[in-house]
Amino acid sequence: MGVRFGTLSTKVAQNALPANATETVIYIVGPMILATDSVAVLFHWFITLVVGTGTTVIAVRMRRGTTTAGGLIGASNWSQTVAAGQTICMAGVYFDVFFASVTSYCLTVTQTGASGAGTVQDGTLAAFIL
Amino acid sequence: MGMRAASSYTKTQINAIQGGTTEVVLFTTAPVILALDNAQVVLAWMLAIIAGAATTSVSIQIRRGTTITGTFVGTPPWISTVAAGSLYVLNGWFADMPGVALTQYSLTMFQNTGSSASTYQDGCFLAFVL
Repeated sequence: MGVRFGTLSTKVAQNALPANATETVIYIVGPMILATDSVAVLFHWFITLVVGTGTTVIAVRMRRGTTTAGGLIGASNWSQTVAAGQTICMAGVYFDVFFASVTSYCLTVTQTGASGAGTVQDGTLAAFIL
Repeated sequence: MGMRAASSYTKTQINAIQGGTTEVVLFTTAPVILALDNAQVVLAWMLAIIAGAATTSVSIQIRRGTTITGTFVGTPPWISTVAAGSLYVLNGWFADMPGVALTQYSLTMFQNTGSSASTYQDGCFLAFVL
């Protein structure tokens, strides 16, 4: 008998990066339906992008919900020093225990110092229930 | 049919990062209960840091147990070249087959000779049984 983890994943970018430092939602998954209230949800994320003009740091955050107003997952100070014109790959894992079913999650990107838009090349956000 | 994986996860930093070659335990999982003696345990981690002064590399290890004397998982150290003052998101995963239940795992870190301690931003470490 086979079994499956409850999972969700996406590789559909919701928005293009702007030519400024506005936090922008890139990937959304959900809503998640949990087996029990106390389960953890494991996230794997990956993004590759071309750094825009003026950008010195790329900060990635995960939030509950589908907007930049959602609660942060972890400290979400996931930042990498970059230089304009570089192509970078960033990736990571994290988990959340939120005690409520039917919650969505989003991955956002902020380009510190940006005066030109970066370009998302590819990426994904996957969630599965442990 | 849905299922759940036996898992342990933490974002509680056990010790501060040290400069130089002092290895420190950053995260420790709870004992992992295996479904079978030959079950594989997937170990995933992420670490966001600001590299300290004179730091040119950071090294990550996973060890069985709760201390820096535990047996390595894989063949670490897993070394990243860094630049002092820059921000990094480091991450990875590995699999282990401990053969005994109730094994704990620790994620440890050390830097290069003469380096100052990097600044911890965020991170996590988790184990789940396949």
